[in-house]
Amino acid sequence: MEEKKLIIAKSITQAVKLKDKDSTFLSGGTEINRLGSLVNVNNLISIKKLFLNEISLAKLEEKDGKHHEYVKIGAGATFQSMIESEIVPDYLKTACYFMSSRTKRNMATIGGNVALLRDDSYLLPTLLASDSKLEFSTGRIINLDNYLIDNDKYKDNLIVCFYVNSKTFVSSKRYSNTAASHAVITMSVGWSRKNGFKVSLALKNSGVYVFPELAEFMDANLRSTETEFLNHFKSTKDFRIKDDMYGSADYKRYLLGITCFDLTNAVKTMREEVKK
Amino acid sequence: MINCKVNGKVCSFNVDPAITLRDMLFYNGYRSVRDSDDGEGFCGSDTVLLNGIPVYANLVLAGEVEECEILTAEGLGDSSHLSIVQKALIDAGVVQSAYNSPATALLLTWLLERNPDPTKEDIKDVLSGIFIRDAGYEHYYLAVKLARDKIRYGTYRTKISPTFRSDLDIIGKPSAKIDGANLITAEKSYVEDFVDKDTCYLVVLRSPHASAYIKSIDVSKALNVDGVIEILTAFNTPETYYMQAGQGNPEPSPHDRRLFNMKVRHVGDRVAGIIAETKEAAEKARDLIKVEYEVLPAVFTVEDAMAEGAPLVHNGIVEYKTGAPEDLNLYNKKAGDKREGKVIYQFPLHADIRKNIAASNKGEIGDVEKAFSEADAIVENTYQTTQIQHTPLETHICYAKMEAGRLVVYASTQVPYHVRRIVSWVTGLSENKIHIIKTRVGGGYGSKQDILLEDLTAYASFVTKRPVLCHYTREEEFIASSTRHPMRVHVKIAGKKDGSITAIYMEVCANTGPYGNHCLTVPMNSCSKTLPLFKCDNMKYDLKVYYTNTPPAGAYQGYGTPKGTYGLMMAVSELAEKLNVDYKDMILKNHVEEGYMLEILKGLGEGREGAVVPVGSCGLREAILQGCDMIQWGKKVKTEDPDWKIGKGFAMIMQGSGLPGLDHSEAIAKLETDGSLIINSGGADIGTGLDTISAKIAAEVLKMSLDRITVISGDTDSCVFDTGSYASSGTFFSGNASLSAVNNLKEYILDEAAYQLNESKKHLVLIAPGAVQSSKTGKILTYAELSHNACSGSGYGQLVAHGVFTTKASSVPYGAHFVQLAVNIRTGEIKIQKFYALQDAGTPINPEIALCQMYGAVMKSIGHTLYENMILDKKGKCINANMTDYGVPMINEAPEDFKCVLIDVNDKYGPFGAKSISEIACNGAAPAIGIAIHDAIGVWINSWPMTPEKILKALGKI
Ligand SMILES: Cc1cc2nc3c(=O)[nH]c(=O)nc-3n(C[C@H](O)[C@H](O)[C@H](O)COP(=O)(O)OP(=O)(O)OC[C@H]3O[C@@H](n4cnc5c(N)ncnc54)[C@H](O)[C@@H]3O)c2cc1C
Ligand code: FES
Repeated sequence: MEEKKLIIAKSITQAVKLKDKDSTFLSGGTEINRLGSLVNVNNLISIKKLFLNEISLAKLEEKDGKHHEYVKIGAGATFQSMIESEIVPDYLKTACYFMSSRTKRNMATIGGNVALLRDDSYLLPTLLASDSKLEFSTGRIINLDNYLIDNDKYKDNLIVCFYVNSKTFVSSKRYSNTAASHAVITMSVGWSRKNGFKVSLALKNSGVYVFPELAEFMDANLRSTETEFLNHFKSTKDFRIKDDMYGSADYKRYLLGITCFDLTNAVKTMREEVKK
Repeated sequence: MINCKVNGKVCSFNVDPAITLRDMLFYNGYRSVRDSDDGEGFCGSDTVLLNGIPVYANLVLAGEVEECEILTAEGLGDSSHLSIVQKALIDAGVVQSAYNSPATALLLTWLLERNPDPTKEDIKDVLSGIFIRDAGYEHYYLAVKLARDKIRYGTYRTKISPTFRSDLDIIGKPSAKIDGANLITAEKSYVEDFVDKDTCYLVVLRSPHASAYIKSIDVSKALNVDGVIEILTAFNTPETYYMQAGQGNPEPSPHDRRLFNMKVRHVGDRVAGIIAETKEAAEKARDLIKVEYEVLPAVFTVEDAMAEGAPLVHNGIVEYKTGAPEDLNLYNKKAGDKREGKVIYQFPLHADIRKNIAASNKGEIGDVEKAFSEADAIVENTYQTTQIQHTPLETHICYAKMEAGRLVVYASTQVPYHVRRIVSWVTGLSENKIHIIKTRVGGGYGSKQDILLEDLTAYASFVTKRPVLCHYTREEEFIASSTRHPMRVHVKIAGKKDGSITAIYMEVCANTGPYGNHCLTVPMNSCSKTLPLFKCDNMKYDLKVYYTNTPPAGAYQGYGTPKGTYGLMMAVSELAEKLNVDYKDMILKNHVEEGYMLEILKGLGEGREGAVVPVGSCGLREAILQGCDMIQWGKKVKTEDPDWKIGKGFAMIMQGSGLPGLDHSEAIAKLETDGSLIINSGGADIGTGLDTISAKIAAEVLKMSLDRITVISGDTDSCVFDTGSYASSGTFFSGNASLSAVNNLKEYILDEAAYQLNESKKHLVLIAPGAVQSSKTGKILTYAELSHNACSGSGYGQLVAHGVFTTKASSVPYGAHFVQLAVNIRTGEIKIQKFYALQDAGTPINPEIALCQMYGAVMKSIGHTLYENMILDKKGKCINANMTDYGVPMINEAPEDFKCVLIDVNDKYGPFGAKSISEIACNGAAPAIGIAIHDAIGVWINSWPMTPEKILKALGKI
């Protein structure tokens, strides 16, 4: 094995300049430095000293020409700092708690978690369901969905921050053997006035998905009963699903149906409560 | 050069910035920053504070801490100046095998500094990133309370534990563990702390195949790697057959392996041992070794192994030391390829390797068939358990070196004297040439009863004459250590309408893996530590143990009993349901009581004839009744959420306290010239507080304070023989040996005092602190004066007493474990709401430590029941050989309301009435949980782990 090399970037410009195919950004290090890491690059560019960890309120101009308020979360913000923030929406804090180890939450960053696109990702389903956006060091802002779909295009870019909408209703659920085990399923359902329902999923040994078609069905009230959700996931070919050590395909399909139904109801309840 | 502040001191480290912070700190003397999982980021042994925030040092690079402030556990206090939190942790009893104790001290100090009045949730949160396997998490909450008391009031106001035996001063009262201060401050404790700078490294090339003959091994390229010293294989190591189970000699396990075999029998089996000056060189050389295998078909389950024409795991020559059958020659004519090697039995284990049977046994009392035919109801079921890993925080480690012509072996072991015997066998050195030093043990739970790497490490040092270190990776811990035997327990049980149990039949099929470590005795315990719970005249058992090509099985806390208890108690509960009798009533009607003759034990010795004995001290009924009250047995609990159903269950449990007639313990008590005391105990303290038990026994008998007593244990040079810490023998056997030694010393002290005071011994008594007083004259002679006089030229010499303990008596701990849980009928999720463990341990000598033993064992068995399982692929490779995927329970899995209760019973044979405590605590969770699940949702889950998927299947949802 080649030896690791570490460079501490002093500025965003330097970090971006140093980045090539043989190097990677080092943020919380909880993936890069661990045994069995998915990141097999030895030249590490530490971005800790760039202090990309601020959490604040920000306005973004959108297609409708209006300025919408978002919570802007620096890519270097740790899971724990998001939990402790007063402005980070609760639904995202719930997802941060999916990482059960407090010590790891003190280290791991939102940028690292998103960039990994892990099939057991703690935060991605929630961030996707909430229609979050991210900003690269170039200043370009894209929807997280695009980052997922066109990842080859974006994967070498330095993410500097995320824009999270606190007005979206999101409910998420994670299934794992023990709290510290990898998740077999992490699913989120979101709803916003602008975009209606959104369903996202991280499925172990499969991938991370957003289901626009299912959301359309839900918006049209074509998926609302438990049986409808169960049947949908029983037969859907939207993603790869197989028997493995995390459970049988039948089990996973069943859980997806039940969970999607439950999360949708939870989101609907939140919506009703706000209306009241 | 990395400049930073460590524990308040400015430091510069000349290291590569890309190494981990943990390596930078550990290799510069900060021993507390350990690693339990090869940098997986799971266990938290490497926790430090970085700029005031807890982080895992393995996941930080050295270059990132330039100009930073680091606090390690060493910064909290040393063993002479403990911090409040360090002291509170020791006092609460959680500092046991203690590998992660320094890290917990750091975390809780951090918590209390930020939040002087933390809630249970706050504590849980802070400890969420630390894996504790020994003591459970419950007394960490207590430790925080104690520390908070001390900070606020200057003294503890919270009670540490209940106390026992008001007639005694020290026994039965909480008192800090005597090695607690060293452990919590990370002073030199474990094998890794004693390794010399010039050590060489041993790494092992392991088999990728589950079964194969080794055709050839080409080590030529590997030997050319710089720094490589020697490569050991089956072609250059002795043909001595032995086994790795640390059991009394002659062992009830077959000698079925050599240092290296010509046939590999599991993925992970030894192929070659590479000794090199650096670990990197050894690993590089390992990758250059070319092995030609002749791959063979393999078997992985008992069903595979028992099938007609199944591939044979062992098919060589069979020999017997005693008791060979008459047709042995004929049997050996059927032996296969020479590379199969041999299987040598010390005495017959009723094995048949040509059918993959490693051992078997059967027996019966009464007339089971008749009772079945007359029964009002019969339940017959099969219960399946899985392969479970011990996951000690300290993985297996051994350091060996030649010193002055002798082989010195630092071992993290439960059985120093068995290690010495086996090292003697493989090296050919006599025992006087071998010195085993048992260091502190960072978790064993049975896995360190097996001599898994000491044999090879010691041999490597012996042949190379170099110091050699071998340290298992976490993956090796899964694939090349010992594990809990997977078992199939078939139970047939009959009863009458009045609730009496009239017949029990248990058929146990165990999977011992490729070698026969503990192959007979573990499954035997499934019957011998379960059937004697019942007053039943008709009982029969039939057990068979099969060789397979899975990773090896061996001893594991509970030793077969958890599996037998699971099957049997589940079946009893089902029988109660069938007979329409309340399960509690059925248990109360059928459990044994003091004086009941245990006929069933006749055939259940350790491969020999067992002794029929009456039930001795027995707190079983009290445990059942008190537990039923606590859990409100019979009262249905409803939830507001219709998805969650609540159920309750319980199981009665038993174990042993060592092996009567087989175990053997000795100790020496020496009065030093200043009147202080050293006990040299053969017993092996593996974190459970055995040394403290010896010290407390001495303090009680000799009326001394604990700080005047030192216990040296598990050192084969300075101590005397002991079979070791297994089979729950520590307190009962080694404790009794210490008691015998100090009782003898007491007599010597009185004799000597009578001589020195010129008085009759009958007028002399011992008084605290450490003196002899004459009731006639009132004269007082301190031990210091007495001992000094004895050693000052004119006296009779130093007072040294020897104690030996062996017995035929059986002191059985009993108990009952209770569960209340919630099951989600839509997702299959299970939440343990309440767990109450009630046990009769006789007099608990260290009550606070005993309670933590119980909490730790229960947590383990909750893990085994619900989450843990080694999963093999079709080729026999373990695919979840890491902590995250394997699924050990941590603080988030602990029951919401968790109580361990010690039933006050005084045993006739134990030291000051003590029996064993911890193994038994592994036995109750599986049946109690299984019964509670049935109570909640009406389905029986008859296999481990009881997963949500199994629940959903049983409910017909998938
Ligand atoms: C025991 C253990 C179990 C784990 N289980 C899970 C799990 O179940 N689910 C899960 O999701 N994760 C898991 N992880 C991985 C990890 O902890 C998280 O994914 C974490 O959020 C990663 O964040 P980080 O800051 O530590 O990333 P790092 O390790 O620093 O980096 C990870 C990747 O992200 C890239 N990256 C980081 N920041 C940026 C940025 N600003 N812009 C662009 N790229 C960036 C890096 O280049 C690298 O490729 C586990 C880790 C451990 C130790
Ligand atoms: S990385 Fe923390 S103990 Fe190994």
